[in-house]
Amino acid sequence: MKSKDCFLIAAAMTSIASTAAAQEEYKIGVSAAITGPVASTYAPAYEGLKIYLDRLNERGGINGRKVTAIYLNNQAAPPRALADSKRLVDEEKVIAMVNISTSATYAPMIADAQRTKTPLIFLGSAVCPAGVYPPKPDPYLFCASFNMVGEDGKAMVHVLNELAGAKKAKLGLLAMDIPISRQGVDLIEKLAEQNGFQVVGKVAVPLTTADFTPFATRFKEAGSEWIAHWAPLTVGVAMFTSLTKLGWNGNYLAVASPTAEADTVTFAQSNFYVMPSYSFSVDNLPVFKEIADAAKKYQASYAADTVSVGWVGGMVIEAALKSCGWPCNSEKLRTSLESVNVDTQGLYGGPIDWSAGNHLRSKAHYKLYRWDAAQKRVVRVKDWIEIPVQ
Amino acid sequence: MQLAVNVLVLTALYAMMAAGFVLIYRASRVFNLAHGDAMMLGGYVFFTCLVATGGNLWAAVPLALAAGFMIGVAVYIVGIRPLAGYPVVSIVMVTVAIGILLRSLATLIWSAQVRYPANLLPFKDTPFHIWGNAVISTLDIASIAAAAIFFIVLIVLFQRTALGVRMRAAAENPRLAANSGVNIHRVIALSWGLACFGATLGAVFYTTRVNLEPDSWLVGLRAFAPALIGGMTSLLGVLPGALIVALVEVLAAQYLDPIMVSSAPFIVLLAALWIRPWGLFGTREEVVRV
Repeated sequence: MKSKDCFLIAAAMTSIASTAAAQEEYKIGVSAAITGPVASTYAPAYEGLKIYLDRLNERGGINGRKVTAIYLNNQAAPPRALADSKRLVDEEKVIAMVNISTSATYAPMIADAQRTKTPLIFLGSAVCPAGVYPPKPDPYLFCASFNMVGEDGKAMVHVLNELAGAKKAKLGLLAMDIPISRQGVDLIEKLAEQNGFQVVGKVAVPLTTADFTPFATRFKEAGSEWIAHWAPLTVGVAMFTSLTKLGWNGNYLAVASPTAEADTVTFAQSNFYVMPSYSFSVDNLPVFKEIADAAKKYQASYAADTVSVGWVGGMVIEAALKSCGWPCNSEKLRTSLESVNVDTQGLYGGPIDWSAGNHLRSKAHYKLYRWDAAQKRVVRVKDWIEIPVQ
Repeated sequence: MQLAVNVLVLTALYAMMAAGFVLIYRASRVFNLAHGDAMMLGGYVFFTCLVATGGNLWAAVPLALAAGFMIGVAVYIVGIRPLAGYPVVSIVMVTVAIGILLRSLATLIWSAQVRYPANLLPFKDTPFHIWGNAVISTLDIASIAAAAIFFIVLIVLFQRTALGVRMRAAAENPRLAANSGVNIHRVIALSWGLACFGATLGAVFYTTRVNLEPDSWLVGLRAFAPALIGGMTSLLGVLPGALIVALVEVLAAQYLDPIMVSSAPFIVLLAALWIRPWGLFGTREEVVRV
């Protein structure tokens, strides 16, 4: 046999072997904002998912097969998300895609998910899109993230009602100048006014703000007694710092980002409330020990308390693939996703319970935390507040 | 009164950052699009120095400024000097590449996690009530003082020292200066060093008042508006340029839809350049050369 023939046979066998190996694993694709604008909001969740899947594979995978995740960095840029989704569905032939990024990256990925009938799951800090809500969700879109515009708004007004008491406070509202954040704040404004609050200022700060004091001055001079924000927490931290400097002594209510707990500790201000739809590590749930161990073992660059929302994403993917069995393809996985019911072990207030008519969850839950100056630690002010998903 | 304080503080911040655009342009006729990234990197160097010195501001700031200066010199020697003689547009494109490189480097070293250098400071940013119920804080005062000292030192350097005269000569007519014995590359390297020194100084005050993340470079890049309004060839023009941009931003934040804060300086920039394309204090001759 000529050496050329030997080479061709070897190449063909290698190809067959690698194809067989590829078929022996669950292959999913992740497009995340690992760097780029507001990466601090998304990258910890990506890392949480990654360490969960690394640990899962080390323990033998699912149904005896590895879960191979292809991680791509879309830098929160729509063209990159488009390139990512094309590569994932057309070249890599993944059975599901995951998005952990800004809402600007959704449209191209949703289009590819619908075109190729591949499930697209929003995890971590990605704001759940309208297409996952009941009663008729898009068949290919699912969301296990902790950010839900409508429910967050309702929960914030609920909390404001309880904390402000009978006195209907003057309320300032803060957004970041991006569409989804403005949308969230518009909803809070509407609900707050319906509840008797007087909205005295609504500000959307640009992404590149050199100094927050001019905006803080506007809030202070308008007489805001409460300020609520629906934006990345970094914006809230900067605004609250400027307000404090100006001598403002009202109360601040912030929706959470993955770094919210660490930021609350750093801040150490008792009039700064944070309302996450997940548990902070101060609640000492047993699952936090698991997360911390995995974060250490797999050398996570983000603190263990910031990666928990990505960990929830890992739980959901594991449950869906288990239910899909083997062999598993996109359509079979889509059907499995519609019956997912994941106990998040207290990380969320309830299960991730998807159905044919609801690709979000049946109820959203929120906790309220703040810094306690006497105890010198973050404390829980309110346990799970339940908001039905509509 | 509070508005006046806000304008003054923002002017100081923009002036520190914008000076670098002018210093580099004057010396090498290059519009340095990596200047925002130099500010971001300066911020990380400052943060690292703060951590390393246990929050000792008196050690961390000089260390960071010295490192910022050295980064500027290194960027010139490694990235720009080999391109001497190439078209300016090629060098500008190289600055874009350097910017991307610095950003990636920052993410690799420090991750995308948001940092708050203010929390490492040994003191709280104490507010002082001044007249008209206005408030100014320790960091506000320090930023105004730092900007003033930085500009006084630059003016003295350029007007009163032999080195400054050589730098001005190299900026105005490089060939003639070289023929007169001025080491052009050394002078331009010094300008890049001073520019990054200013960017790091700006970063010290920006990051202690807001935060630090790889995308802080965008704030540094915004400072090109004051530089253009003032005139790219005039260091002193940076001050009125920064004042105009700060005034417009603060008034927009107070009285207009805050969305206008992003666009207002650029509307002013367009208007200013339409009326006087070479900037308030720039020279007509330089525009032809651009």
